[in-house]
Amino acid sequence: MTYDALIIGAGIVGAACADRLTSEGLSVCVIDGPNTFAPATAAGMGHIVVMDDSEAQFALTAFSQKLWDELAEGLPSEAEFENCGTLWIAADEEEMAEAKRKRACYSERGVTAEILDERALRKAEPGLREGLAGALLVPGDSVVYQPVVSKFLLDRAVSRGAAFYDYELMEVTRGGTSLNTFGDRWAAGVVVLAAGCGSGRAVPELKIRPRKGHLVITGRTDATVNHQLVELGYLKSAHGTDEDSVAFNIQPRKTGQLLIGSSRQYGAEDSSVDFGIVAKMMARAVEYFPSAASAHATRIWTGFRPATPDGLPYIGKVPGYENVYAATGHEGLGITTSLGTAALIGDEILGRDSAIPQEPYSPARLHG
Amino acid sequence: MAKKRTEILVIGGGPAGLAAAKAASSHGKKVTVIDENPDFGGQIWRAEKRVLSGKAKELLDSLEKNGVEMLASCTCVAALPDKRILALSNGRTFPIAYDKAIIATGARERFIPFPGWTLPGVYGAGGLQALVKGGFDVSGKRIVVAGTGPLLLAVAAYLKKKGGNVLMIAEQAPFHKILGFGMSALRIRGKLAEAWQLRKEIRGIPYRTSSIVTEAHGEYSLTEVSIRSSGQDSRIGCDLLGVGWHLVPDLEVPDLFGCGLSARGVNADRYMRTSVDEVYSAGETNLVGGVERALIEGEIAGLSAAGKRKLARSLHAKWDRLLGFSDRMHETFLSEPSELRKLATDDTIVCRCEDVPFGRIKYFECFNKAKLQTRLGMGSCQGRVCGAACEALFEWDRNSVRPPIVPVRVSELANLKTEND
Amino acid sequence: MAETVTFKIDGTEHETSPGTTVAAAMLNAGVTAFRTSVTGEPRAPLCGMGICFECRVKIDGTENVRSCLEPVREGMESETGG
Repeated sequence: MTYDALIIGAGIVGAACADRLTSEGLSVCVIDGPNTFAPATAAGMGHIVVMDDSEAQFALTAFSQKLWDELAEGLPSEAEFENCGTLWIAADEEEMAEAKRKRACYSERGVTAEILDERALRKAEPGLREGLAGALLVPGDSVVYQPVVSKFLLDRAVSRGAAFYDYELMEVTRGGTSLNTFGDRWAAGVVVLAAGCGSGRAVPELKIRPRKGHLVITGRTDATVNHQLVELGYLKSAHGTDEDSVAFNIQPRKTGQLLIGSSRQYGAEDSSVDFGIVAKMMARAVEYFPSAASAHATRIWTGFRPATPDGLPYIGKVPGYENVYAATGHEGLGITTSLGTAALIGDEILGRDSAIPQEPYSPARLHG
Repeated sequence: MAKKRTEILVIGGGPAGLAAAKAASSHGKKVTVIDENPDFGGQIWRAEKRVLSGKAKELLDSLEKNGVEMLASCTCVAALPDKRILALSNGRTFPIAYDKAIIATGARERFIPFPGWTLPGVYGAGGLQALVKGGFDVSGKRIVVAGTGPLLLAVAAYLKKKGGNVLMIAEQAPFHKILGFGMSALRIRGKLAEAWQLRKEIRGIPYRTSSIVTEAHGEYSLTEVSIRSSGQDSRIGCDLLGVGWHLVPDLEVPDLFGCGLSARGVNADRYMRTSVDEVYSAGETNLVGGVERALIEGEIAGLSAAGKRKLARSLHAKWDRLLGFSDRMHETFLSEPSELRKLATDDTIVCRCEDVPFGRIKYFECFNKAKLQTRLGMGSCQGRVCGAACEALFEWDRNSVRPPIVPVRVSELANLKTEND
Repeated sequence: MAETVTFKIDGTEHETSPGTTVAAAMLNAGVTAFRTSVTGEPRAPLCGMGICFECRVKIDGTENVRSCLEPVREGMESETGG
């Protein structure tokens, strides 16, 4: 079996790549393990968010957000796409200063962002506790139910002739244009590795560590949440360190449910729910958003984000392999950046320039 | 809530759980029994107006004498590390620490979706009986009892005794299978007298084999049902329908513990040990097989957990004799689900929590994929109803649950102290 | 034990005998819609034993209570429509 491109992994990144490459007229085959269900995509939060931890992260998230807005119109209603914006909550003056720095950063780079003072914040989100300093509103951010989008993109690729097989990947050969699965040998012009936390098994040179997260979904509730709410302390606590951390994060679902996060843990390999972490998450949620207290938690689950040492994904040709491209290591931003990733991969395979520079994400930095 | 610690924690206070608690406590173990219901005894010994009698009372009296701690209205909602569970009672959560746990969560009815089954007035067969035992007055009500399984006769007899006007029992299984099952049951001591008594009690109620309810009709609540009996369709006016498709084991709790499961229930060995260390399982949770079997399994589990392996072994012969009965039951009832698969139309709701219709899920290849795309099984019941239905309809593997298996207030989770000391 | 227990369904007072479950008492009072489903259908108890969550109502201010598992207590207030 020979294809122009063989995509390993049918999570949202693999699905977006399949969609993109078939739209360019390439023949594509997608494979994924029979019982994997794209675990990170299924477990994630579906927050389409512009982030500014680094210049490169900003470029990729902002670029991807535009692509999401273009995609949104054609999505089925079950995708629950909602352009509700993100409110970055500042608890105190120190965090308010961070909000203002962030606003300047976003504005300079052409992304609309505005500061809400204490009163404006209360008006925007009456359910938040009193005494918060204010917030940064990023109105262009959205929320989405990503499993439906993932299937939508994959189905669209299949409608353009892509093949999709449930196969367990055994190895990617260094030559790259062929790989072994159970019982079959596949040949393709290029291999795109989009297997999230599983990518390291196929190409050990890619340094990816699973970073565990917990999410809690409530039943339908009367509590009104108008935006995706994230505490600015998130930036100080959860990012950048190796320690377990918990931050306030609430996503309103179109169903009237609340999706409450978040936690980050390295070294926790076991997928079981850690109720100690859950207790901290829920305490944080109630502290910021008191009316969440009476909502009923109906399900709690965990997932693993594919994290890289420098917090940037691997997108592009893998050094030491012929024609193997990585599209993985997105940590907690895989939903947002799936579309941007697919665009970059498409451009690189076809030898074109991209809308944003590709170098910062190149796996070539592994040797740098 | 004070921290709780016990030697042997029994989850489920039906026949198996009570027998386990008696066996363990009789050998000096500190035993705690929790049950989600306000009263012990399980579904089979569910009492009218909450007053237990007979074997149930006998067991409960001996537990009281042995100083067993009994926590009613208490649900296990999650398994915690270090041999603890998270319990929920009256809206409050707290951990219970144990040395050994015995799971005896029993079984529940299987429901198969058909047009109109979500109408008020349509109940499970056992469900209707449970509600009547809880005080629901059915005197003078026109009732159809339908589905499959030995439960239907007992339900019809009970409803008749309570003044219900039972119009018909519609049993899906064909007559020759019922006859075969009846003959095999007669070989078990006690079953003969039971059957004779039941026959007397349901005298006058038409018992139709090869019959199924194909549709429930009514605008706001049930007014009529359509019945297909040996290929002939008819409609009957009625107020209540009790319809159940035999029983399936309750596997949420063993699933939380990570016990190895098969299609029939928990995989337990001859000492009722599960695949998880220090966790035992007994009764219909392992295999739907009737109360006698549940009592023996409970006793074996209680003795094993108390370290009395030799005594447990002495019960094996008796236990083995009851195995054949449950096999026979499974062969007789719901052996031919293909005609049931044709009942649901595309707009028949399968998942009642999220109102997901048959037409939206029928093309998926497994429960989890359908769940992610359609919200199937994402509601409060977490697939307890639609999971078993999809197993029968599509042969999908059962849905795995996520904690908490009963919704818990966010504030309770926020206040949770997970460290026990 | 008292001969009857008095309780409320959606603000209206009812009497029942001790030991009756809330679900049974509500059915006896003629309630057909215990809750409204996500597509607006009326729903009432199905399983009678705490499995299906169809009988859930608000009891004394607490939502999501399975009425089939709850005995009626004197002065209890239950609300449908959740």
